[in-house]
Amino acid sequence: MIQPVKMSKIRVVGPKKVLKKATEIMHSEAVIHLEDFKPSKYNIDRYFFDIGNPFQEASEYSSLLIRLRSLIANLKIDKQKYTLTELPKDSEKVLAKTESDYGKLAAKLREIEEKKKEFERLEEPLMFVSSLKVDAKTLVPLENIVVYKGYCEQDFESKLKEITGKYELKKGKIGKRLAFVLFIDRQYSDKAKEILDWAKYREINIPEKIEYESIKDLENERNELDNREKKLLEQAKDLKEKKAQFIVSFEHYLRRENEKAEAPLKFGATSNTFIVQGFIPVEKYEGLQQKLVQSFGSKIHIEKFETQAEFAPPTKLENPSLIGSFEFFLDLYSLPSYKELDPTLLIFLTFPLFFGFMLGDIGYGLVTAVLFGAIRMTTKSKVMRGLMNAMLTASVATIGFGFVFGEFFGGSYFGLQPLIHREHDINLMLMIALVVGLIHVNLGLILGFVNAYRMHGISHAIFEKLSWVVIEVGGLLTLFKLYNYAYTTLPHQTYVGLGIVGVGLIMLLKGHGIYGLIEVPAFASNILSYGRLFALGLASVALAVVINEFATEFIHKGGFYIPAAIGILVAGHALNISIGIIGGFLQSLRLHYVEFFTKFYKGEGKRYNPFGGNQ
Amino acid sequence: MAAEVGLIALGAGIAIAGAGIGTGIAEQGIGAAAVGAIVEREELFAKALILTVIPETIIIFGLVVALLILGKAV
Repeated sequence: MIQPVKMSKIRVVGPKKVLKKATEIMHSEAVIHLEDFKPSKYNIDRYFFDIGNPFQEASEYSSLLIRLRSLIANLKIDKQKYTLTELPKDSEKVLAKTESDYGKLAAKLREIEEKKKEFERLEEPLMFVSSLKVDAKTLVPLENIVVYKGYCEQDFESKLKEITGKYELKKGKIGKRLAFVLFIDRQYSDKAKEILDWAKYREINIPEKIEYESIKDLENERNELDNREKKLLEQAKDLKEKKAQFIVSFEHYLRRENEKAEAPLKFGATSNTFIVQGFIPVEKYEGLQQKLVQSFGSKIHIEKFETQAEFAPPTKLENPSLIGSFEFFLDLYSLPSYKELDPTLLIFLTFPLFFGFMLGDIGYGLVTAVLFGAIRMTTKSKVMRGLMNAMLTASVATIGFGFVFGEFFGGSYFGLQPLIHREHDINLMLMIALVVGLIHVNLGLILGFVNAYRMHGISHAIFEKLSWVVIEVGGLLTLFKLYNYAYTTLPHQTYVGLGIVGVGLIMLLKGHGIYGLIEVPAFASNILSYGRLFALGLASVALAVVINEFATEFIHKGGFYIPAAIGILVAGHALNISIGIIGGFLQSLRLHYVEFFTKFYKGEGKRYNPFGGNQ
Repeated sequence: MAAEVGLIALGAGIAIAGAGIGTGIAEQGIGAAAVGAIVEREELFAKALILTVIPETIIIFGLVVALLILGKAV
């Protein structure tokens, strides 16, 4: 629990004849985290070892996978939605049939799409021609006659008359716009153009041939197209419903097969042998070894050796399921590296407590529990379910602290007796928060001490981590004396305290360098930062009390005010709860990430991802 | 006496307000940059969160000071 799963490095060597079967076994056992084989590392002879070649079927699988994935994308199949099913024997044929079915549908749909675009292009000219009642064929310029056709903003006929009478004008309104066709003698065309420009003329392009008589024809045809499109889309949906499960299953199957077929790319190979390297959880080694020996006897050589941090083994966290839910918070940050401690258990212990301490209300705890429970039941995402498990424990803690603070939706109803009164015992609450901070940060330092010891040895651990504890002790002794608080009986306590701080600072300088000294004020603010534990709770309870007082006043007025009071209660507490959830979650997360993790956690571990484990 | 208590309360209020404004100013730039970074790479969420909330301690300093000031009123 406290540590990632122990790994050994494993090496499997054998003749190429058994490569395929060995790959098969390793894949189905799904315990080896493969390491890419780097030929350059094995410089026995540069040409001796090389990366293996994928099995022949890999290229076939890949091309099938591409076809399947394009179908998945085109049919918009959501892979999560479908369960896997057994594949028919002639899967490839089924795939080809599905593809051709879809291809036909898609081609028809494309055709309709194009037609529709064409219609869109024709619509305006057709409207123009039919409402002005002109023939599209006549709208071409002749030797002596120029044609202007389009829209303008003002009527210009009176101006036109001033130049000449040799014209013919047809005009009409289309919507709000003034449409016109003007035939005019070529010799006046320039002047006419000037007038048109004055009238803000905009030309329209009209194809010489329009196949449709009227807008109505076009609409009819378009409706028919719409109907056809609808039917085709329905057919596509049918196809999707019928084949989606098959497609998803086939894709899944091929993906796994392809993993096997391409695995030799991660192996090393000579012309007749192969070598597989990777990491395996120590406890799984025996099982795999037996399986391999059973199948190949002495033809295959398997060895394991102790891992060292330099090999950078992958990290596999192992926690009981409820505690494991809190691995989410590590995923969000960064997995611990192999040699580090796994802090999941500690987060499991402290996160709900912090959250509960901040929200601390029986009613709010119940509401959030119902909310998180509902999300947990409905969501399909595994990550979300884990998170909700974690949040449910936080709700339980909230209810627990609700009893301590004697609060039910902000008030002490049902004869609840608060052990601590959050609104009034402010100094006590602040003190509790800071003491919790001191404990939490020191817990971080202890873990940091262990980590530093395991990675760099004892002296490193003492100077780097224990120095902080020495400074703390000295600082507290001084502060106690100065404020005449708690423990003051040591002779010359102030000076002794300062002396101890000095020793701590020197140790820190040795362990961390100048950087460590800069961190000293930050360390103090880290502990003060836990004040938020109480501050958020104070804000939450104050808001709840205000809401309740408001509503009580309304209820006393009676009559029409009672529903209003209920509305205020519901909306107010809903708001307060949502602030409480967001605030409680983020602040509690922050205390872990910023104040706690910085004392010991490095992260940057690789996830253990066994070959064949991707179900 | 009442005026004194009022002044003390005002002082506490100013402590909170100043710290709050300071925190806000400090967080605005970090927050904007953090959101930008998360959009580009989602896995930066935790790091972005940490950087964004660092100035939040300032408001807690404000709160502590306000409480110390209020303590004088009793």
